[in-house]
Amino acid sequence: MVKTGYFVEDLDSLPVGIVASAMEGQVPRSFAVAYTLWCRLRARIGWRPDVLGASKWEPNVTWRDDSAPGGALTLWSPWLEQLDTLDYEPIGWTESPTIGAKREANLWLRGPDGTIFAQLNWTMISSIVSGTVGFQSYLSADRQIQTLAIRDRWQRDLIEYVQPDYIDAVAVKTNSVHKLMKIHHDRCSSVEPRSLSAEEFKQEHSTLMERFFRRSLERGYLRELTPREVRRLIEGTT
Amino acid sequence: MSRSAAYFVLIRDGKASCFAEVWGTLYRELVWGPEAFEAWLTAGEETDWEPEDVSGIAIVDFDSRTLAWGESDVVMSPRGHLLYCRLLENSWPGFSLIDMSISELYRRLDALTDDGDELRDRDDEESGPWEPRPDTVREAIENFRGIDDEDEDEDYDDEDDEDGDDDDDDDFDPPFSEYCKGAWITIIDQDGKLRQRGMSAVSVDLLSGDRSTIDELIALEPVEVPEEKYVTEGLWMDLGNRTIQFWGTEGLSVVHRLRSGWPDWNVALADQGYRQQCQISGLDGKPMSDAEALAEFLPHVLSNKRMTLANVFGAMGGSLKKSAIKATGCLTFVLALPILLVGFFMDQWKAAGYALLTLVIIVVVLFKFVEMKIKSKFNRSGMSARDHDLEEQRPPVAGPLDETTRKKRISQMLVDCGLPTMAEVEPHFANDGIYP
Repeated sequence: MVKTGYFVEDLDSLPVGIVASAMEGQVPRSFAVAYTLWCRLRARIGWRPDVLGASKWEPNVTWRDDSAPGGALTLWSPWLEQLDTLDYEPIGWTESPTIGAKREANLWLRGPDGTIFAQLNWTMISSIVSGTVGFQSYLSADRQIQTLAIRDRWQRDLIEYVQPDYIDAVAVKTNSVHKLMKIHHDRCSSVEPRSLSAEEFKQEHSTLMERFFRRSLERGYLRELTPREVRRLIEGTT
Repeated sequence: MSRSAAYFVLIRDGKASCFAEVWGTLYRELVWGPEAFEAWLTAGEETDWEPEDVSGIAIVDFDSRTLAWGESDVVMSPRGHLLYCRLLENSWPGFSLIDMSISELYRRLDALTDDGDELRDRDDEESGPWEPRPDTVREAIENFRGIDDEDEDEDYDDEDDEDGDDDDDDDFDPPFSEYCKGAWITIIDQDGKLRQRGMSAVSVDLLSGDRSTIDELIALEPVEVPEEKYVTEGLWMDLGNRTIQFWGTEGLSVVHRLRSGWPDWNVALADQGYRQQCQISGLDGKPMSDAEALAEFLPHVLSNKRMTLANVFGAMGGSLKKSAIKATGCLTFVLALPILLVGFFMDQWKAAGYALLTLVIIVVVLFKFVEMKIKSKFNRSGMSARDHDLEEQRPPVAGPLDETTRKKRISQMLVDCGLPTMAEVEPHFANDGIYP
């Protein structure tokens, strides 16, 4: 198969319950389950639903310190205000190389003692915007603790399902950065997070992301787009 | 059930004539201009009847060429209101248009009729705008979030939520959403740091200069910069420069109140509204297009049906029917899926086809039967006949009576005002809007 380098989440690799619950807000659960099964049947016979957007995998992340996309800043503004009161300082942001109707950016901030880093995510697919705020700390032996603010149950279930054993992630239903911070702090109290400089963090992050990507690919959580799919996405946006 | 009515006064040669229209909406009737409006009103009889609940008042003084008006319960954003005023200026050439609060209109009515006293007595708590403002910042926050402190603790008690089944307790709307519109407040502190806040409306204590409101606002949870369509009014305070700017449908009257409450501050009207507040905040926000703003009120302006209880229920019924059709479609799909799967895997397409056809016929017959039952129950209730006594000789609406001419006239007005064309606005009409 020709390599395109563009990847998309493969929903067929996830339990039907998680995928169906993602649709529950819009349609009844029975219909969501039926639709999920229908999509899987289509995929089996090579008639996949259209992909809206995809990201290219690049092991070397480009860190930026200019102004992030306006839409992302709009979404992040309440979180940035709260992080500012906790003395967190931005260390850079990245934008995923995407095609189609998808755009994604992440901003990282370093806590005062370098043991906790905050991550703000912004994802836009067509006109639908979503985002998360989370905290992460690195332990010795390549282990990471993450505490994420996520309101949707299906996303919390998803995180639990896909997390590898070297990432201890907990998704919490909250809007408050202060409360999320407190939970993360409590979780870190029994372990000893490493204090990292901004540069060390970027290095660690890059290594961990590559490891996570390889694992997701092995497990089938991600699939590579076909050249035809890539062409259709590019043509659709130009 | 009290019948809300719009109240009208026409003044010619110093003589005032009063009219009322049950379920009337001013903005639909006024937009066609003074001649059409007067012709419509005078086709009916003058009133000495006192409406139980006044939804709006229009006073047209042909002597001084002034139209003073104000209306409650109008689902229109500040931007929509601004565009509506442009249409009104175009259709009332030579008239001074005054958008007034209820107390101001009652004062004018006082001077013209005896009814003004009675109307005002009935609603004497109203001292300013049509919708009473919350007294305190705290009240404005509670109204906005729709939860009290106890609920709030419950909703944000994260540790408890970690493994609980907690999606079901999302019983409040997120701030600045379809069912939770409100005032957007930006505070710029002495260091230039920005704080974005939300509340149901700018509260009375904030308007009257209570300095402790600033600390209360700062202590609140930040909000995301809202979409313009969910903002009813906006205000920003620059603590370093001691300036306050406000925008919203009650623009100038709120600015006057702020000026008297904050005498040593520079208070001004932000004439660019939402966009200006985004600019101050250095963020993009999500402004509404003119087409979106016009789509908020044009469907009702175009409607040529009299607002009666039966029509309102009829329109609601139509909307309900659409939802029922969608739900039945989903159900049919779910029921049809196993049949399709059997047809596919067992290569029994012919049998599956017959089964599908039978299924569709059964569903359609059942749907029609239920619809017929509901309709006959509604007709038996007598609601459809209840408003017939109110339909006098006055035409159902001001302006042209047939839909095509109404649309043509409004299209021309849009062109005259340099606004988006009807073709650009129509795609933004709400599909599930209830427009009798």
